[in-house]
Amino acid sequence: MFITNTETVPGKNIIDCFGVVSGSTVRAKHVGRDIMAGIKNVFGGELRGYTELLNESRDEAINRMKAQATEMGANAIVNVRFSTSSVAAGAAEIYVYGTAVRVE
Amino acid sequence: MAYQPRLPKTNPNIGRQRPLQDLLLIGSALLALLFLLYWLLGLAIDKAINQLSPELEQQWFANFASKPEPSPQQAYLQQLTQDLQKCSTVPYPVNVHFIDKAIANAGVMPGGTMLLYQGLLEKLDSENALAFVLAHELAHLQHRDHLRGFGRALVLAVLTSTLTGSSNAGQVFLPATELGMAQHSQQREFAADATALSLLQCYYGHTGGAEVFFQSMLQQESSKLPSWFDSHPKLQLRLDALQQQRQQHGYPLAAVTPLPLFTAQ
Amino acid sequence: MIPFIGFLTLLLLGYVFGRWAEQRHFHSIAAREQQWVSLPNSNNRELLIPMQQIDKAELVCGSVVISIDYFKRLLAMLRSIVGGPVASYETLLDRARREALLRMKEQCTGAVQIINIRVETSSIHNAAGNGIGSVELLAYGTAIYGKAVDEVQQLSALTSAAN
Repeated sequence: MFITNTETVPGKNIIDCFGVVSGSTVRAKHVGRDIMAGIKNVFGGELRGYTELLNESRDEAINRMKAQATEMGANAIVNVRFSTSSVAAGAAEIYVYGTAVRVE
Repeated sequence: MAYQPRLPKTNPNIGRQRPLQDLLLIGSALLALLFLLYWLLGLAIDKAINQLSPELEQQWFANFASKPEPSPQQAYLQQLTQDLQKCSTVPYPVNVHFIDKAIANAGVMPGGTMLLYQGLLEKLDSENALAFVLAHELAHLQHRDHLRGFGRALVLAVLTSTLTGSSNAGQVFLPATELGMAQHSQQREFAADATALSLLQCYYGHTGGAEVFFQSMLQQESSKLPSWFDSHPKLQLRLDALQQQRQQHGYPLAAVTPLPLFTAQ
Repeated sequence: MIPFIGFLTLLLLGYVFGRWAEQRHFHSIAAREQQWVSLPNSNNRELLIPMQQIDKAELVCGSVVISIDYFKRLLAMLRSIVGGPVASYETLLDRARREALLRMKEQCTGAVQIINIRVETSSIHNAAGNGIGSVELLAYGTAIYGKAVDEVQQLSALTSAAN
């Protein structure tokens, strides 16, 4: 499956278009990591626990979007956009969407 | 490029939904953890309180107490308490504060201050009945329950706020923590009743009049709900416990001393 | 005792009514999605369907604010202590997004296609200091009205270009 954030898949011709597909996930880290992040907040620097959390969630969201596109018969997703929001305390919400297409 | 109208057959954006199982599993695991920590910290507090000498406690808290208003009741209560105290092991002087309000209540504060309301005095018909109430409060001081209750409340607050962080998930555990506090408090009340009865026996040589206050309150107790969340046990249970203790130790019953008349306010 | 009874009541109400409302919403979404499936939509900037004549191109928006029920909120709180996927929240976001997209489509009856679709999420409850509550979903795009190039014309255009 081709995933791009451009409007086309460079070097390929788009044959069919299936509309917007999306994937989303909400994940929380356990309270131990939250506390560690709170301590780290005092000194600054990378919050590894949270980086990991967001990366995991993003992968999961992309997989879900791919699953949706595959079911519709697409083999590529173009113009992919990410958005992150914090809808619950200590939990991250990742949303990814794009246009499902079939390329030759 | 052609548009193909299609909808996905399944919805991968929703994970496996097992709400009831999740609630039970996570809830019970966290509750078990909370109870374990609470129990361990409770033990630690009891140990710490045993280390803290009554003299030190007296020093810390003596400055917080205010002077009581002089009145005949005040002088009488102070005298009776001092007499009763000879039978107890409370090492520091206890100051009684008589408060002229219609509430039927009494209590102790850290540093050896005892509060007694007019409303409670009105419910009693003899000196022995009053002595039992005072002895019950003395027993709390002797067992140092005022410090225990304070310590446990503090530990619970710290524990739940650490566990739940900034979110208001603490409210999830509120019933559980209240239950824990209430159960502990009820145990301490039974223990104080038992000590109070032995103080009464020591001072008067009999235990007549001990149950008068509970009996007078029993007529007002209308709540039919179970008492799991109350700080005090059901009155009938307390009366039964007193009766059982009397039989166990063979405490005799005899005529009670009447209360003096307080005419001058 | 009283707070405990209140808590259990809220929990039960949340579970029963939340479940009922959610199922009803999902049914309604599924039916309307079926109804709107033939409207071409994409988040690309270029036209999805070639147009013979464009009458109008305008911004269309669809938004919705949805709140989670007491039971699921409690579950999410517990989940945020132990970590892991917050499944109870995923249904909320999923139906909020699909609802916002549907409302956007319902705004442009008669349009040939919607392009450059964007979706924004915000948690409007955060300002009240309450970490969990309701979300606002906004979907917006450009609706193109007019006449699409039909395939016969498209083919003839191609052949004439080849000649």
